[in-house]
Amino acid sequence: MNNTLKYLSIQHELGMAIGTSLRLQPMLATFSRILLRRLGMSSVHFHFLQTAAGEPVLQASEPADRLEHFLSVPRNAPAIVVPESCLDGEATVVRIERRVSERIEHHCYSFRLGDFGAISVQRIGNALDPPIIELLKPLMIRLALSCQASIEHENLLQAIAARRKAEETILFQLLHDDLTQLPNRRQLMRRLDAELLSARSGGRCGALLFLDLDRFKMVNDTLGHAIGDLLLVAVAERLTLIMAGDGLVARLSGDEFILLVGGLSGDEDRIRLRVDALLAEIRAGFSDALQAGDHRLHVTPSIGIAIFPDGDCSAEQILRCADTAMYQAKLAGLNSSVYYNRQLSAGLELRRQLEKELQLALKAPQQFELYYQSQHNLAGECIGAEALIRWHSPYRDEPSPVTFIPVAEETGLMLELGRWVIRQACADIQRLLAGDLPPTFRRISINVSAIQFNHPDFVESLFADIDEAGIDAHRIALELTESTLIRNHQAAATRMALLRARGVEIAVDDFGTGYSSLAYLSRLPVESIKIDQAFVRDLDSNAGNRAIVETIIALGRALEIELIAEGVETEAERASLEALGCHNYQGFLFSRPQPLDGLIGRLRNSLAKA
Amino acid sequence: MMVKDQHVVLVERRSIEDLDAAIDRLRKDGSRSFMLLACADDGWDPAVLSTWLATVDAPVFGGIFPSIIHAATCRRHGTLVIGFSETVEIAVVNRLSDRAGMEPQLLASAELLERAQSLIVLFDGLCPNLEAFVESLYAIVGVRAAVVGGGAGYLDLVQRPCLLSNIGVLEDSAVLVALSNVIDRGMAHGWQRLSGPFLVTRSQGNMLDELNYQPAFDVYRTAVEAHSGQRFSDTDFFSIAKTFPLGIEGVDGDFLVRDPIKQVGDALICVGEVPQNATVYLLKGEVGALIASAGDAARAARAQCQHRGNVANASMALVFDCISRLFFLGAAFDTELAAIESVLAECGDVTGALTLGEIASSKAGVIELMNKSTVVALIGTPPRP
Repeated sequence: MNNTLKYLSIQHELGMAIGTSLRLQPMLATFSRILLRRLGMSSVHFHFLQTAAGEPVLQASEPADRLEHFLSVPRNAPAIVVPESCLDGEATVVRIERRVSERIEHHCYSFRLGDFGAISVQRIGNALDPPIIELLKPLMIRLALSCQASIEHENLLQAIAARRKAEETILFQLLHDDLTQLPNRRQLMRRLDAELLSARSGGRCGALLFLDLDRFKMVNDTLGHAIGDLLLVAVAERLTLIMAGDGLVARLSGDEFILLVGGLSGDEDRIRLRVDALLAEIRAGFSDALQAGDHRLHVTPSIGIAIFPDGDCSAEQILRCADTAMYQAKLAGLNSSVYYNRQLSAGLELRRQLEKELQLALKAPQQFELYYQSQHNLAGECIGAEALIRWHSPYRDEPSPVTFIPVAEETGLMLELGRWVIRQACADIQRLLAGDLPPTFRRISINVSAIQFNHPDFVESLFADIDEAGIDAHRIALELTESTLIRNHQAAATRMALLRARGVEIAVDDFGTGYSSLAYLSRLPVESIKIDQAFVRDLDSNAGNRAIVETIIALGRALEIELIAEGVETEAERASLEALGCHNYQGFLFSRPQPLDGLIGRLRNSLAKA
Repeated sequence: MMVKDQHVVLVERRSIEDLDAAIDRLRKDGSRSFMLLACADDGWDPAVLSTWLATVDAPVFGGIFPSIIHAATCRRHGTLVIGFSETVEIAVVNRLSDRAGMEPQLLASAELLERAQSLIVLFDGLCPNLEAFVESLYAIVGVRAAVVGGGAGYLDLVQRPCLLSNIGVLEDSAVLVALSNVIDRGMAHGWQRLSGPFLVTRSQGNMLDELNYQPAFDVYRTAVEAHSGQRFSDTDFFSIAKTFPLGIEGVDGDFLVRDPIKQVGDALICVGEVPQNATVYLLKGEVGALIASAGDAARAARAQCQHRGNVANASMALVFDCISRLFFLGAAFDTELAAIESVLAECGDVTGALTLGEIASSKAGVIELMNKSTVVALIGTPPRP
């Protein structure tokens, strides 16, 4: 009777210790402690089927999967091996083992826990009474059910955690840039919206700094995109360091980064002081080289700044304003910064409009026409003419080449436009040659931009146009600027040699406005120099211009290069040029630019007079 | 006035200078660490003691106990300074009554505890959470290290600073001393079954609410009054209860003694946990049986020592004997100590403390928190490095 009560109380106490926690480990730890104390055990061990990550599971993923150790109490108890056949059959008790070591008895009992685990208990000294083992059997079945519930619960928790992590990852990816882990455009725009709202309601201001790395493309082109990416990461880290948590650093795309600073107070001057201080920090931050792989690279940003709120401007508009200012900063040179103002937008809008119209015009090239301004010798005889493009735009009143040529050059449209000019000039020369020409008339000069001249197909394409028109290449002179010749000097020399061999003349246009070193002239097959009209102006009264022109003329003579002065508008200027030794002229004094028919008529008249 | 006996110095006065002198003397004899067993009745000022402990440039540990044992005699005054020839390592667990805070501290010291050959564990005997502490300690230490120790504190049962360490006098704490030498131990209580069994049908920690679905005090009173002839209505609770402890029956039929020290309403407050659903018996004490059990504890320790091929006379005997045995045995308590001394005659010193609860690793290896028991430990000479 006494033992019966004892057994009942043991069974009850152990039974109460099952399922004390939904989590497997705490539940087993509590059960183990009661088991140790109540049955005088020295250790308790649990083995379960487990995933590779050590998470208990209810079913083996492979038939050969074995039980793995999960928990021992005490934790430093010597490891125990569960019988291999533990999960075979239906028996709850899978092992009763006795061994004697140093005259001390050690007993080990293993019980099956469902189809997924086992519990083993060890005892030093007396063996457990058979009734105790019997009472443990139903307890172990209950424990198995509790373990199963805990494992299912934990699997569910893990699935929830994995899902939450996946959601967090997706959310992170949605709002961050993959490469730098910085906030991306989406997050930037959300934040900018919030800053705008806060600035408007709180009467404060903010600043958006649009950074574009100078010459980043060169890094990608020369060192590869992998180094380029490392550089972008380094830039992101440097910017984050500079901002030190005070504001947002975002990557917009490519080499474009945004710094967003909110909560600025005071008048515009004070805000600018704050932003200027930040700009100084950025300059200082980028004065050191950045490490990108094995390379230490110096990189500078061009920065456009938009202060907000600016009227009713939306976040998108503020970003565009900063972009516009950044574009201006790029034009101002490396490592520059420009604050946005509305004039910048107006200028940029004009350029964008012109670009669109130019694209349309190139599809309908009849909008373009070549005018010709004749060139004359000392005797006033016509020795040639310069082809000058005119654009009869349906949208605006005869836009000046000074306005649209730079747009064409910046947007890459210059290649197409230049090709049209050459073809049209060749066709016009063919018409000129079809009639009578004064014997002094030598050639038509065509302006060629650097982009055009440096294109690998330029020479081949020019020769094709000459051949198609069936004209003599000697009737063409190409006017190149100094900078075109200086840049890519070796390739330029090779091309010029090919042109000269065919008979095409090379003239240096706007001479004197570019590089002071003129040594290149002696090494290139240049036949004539055009003295820029800026030096011709007021030559009779301007000592400075006079000195420059004297030098150019002396150089031409020394190198036996022909000279022609542009923009000659008065007889006094012409007389001065003559006195200095320049005997060829172009300008309003002789003729305004005129359509081809006008030039043909003029030449015919001169022949008739002769 | 100091009495020196091998590695033990009894400091009779409450004097910091005498403590310093004792430590100096033991240090000259080769001691590198020091255990201090002080008496509550000496009224040490914890602030003064803390300041001094912080200045001792060697590991120092110990406790303030109701009484100490020196030369097989119980003393209510004086401090034992016991020298250890090894430099022991000490871990302190604070906020012992906060289970959630206690376990991480033990885990933080796990490397030290697992490395030790044996551990002396002194604890605040009035801490309410001792069972959990002992379980957590076993979960880390396991069977590898033998554990012995006892509870420090004051007989007025008011918890206050009572543990000594290099960081001062501590309350609600435990001091765990890792030794590199082996401790052989024996423990016994001598209390015998009187009536029962009773099923613990409601309890919480050390508060026993119901036995056999009846108010615990009613069941206890009925059983005790029937055997003792005394009445709780006209006698102080503890003066009767000290003679009739409860015993939690183990699976092998042995008893883990639980001392009811207080009655609160219908509940009994015990020293140590009484788990719900356990079977308990009412125990009785007989002077002869208790004294004999103390001798049994000493014999078990000596047998273990000899079994391992060690020489008992190279060991120091340390006794943690429950203060309630003194209350029960009265003048016969010295006979109990003499019984221990006679078994361990070759050991030289029988020193120790009268404690509020005792702990030791059982034969099965599990660390047990005991009441009204005697723990005898033989501390061997550490192995040469």
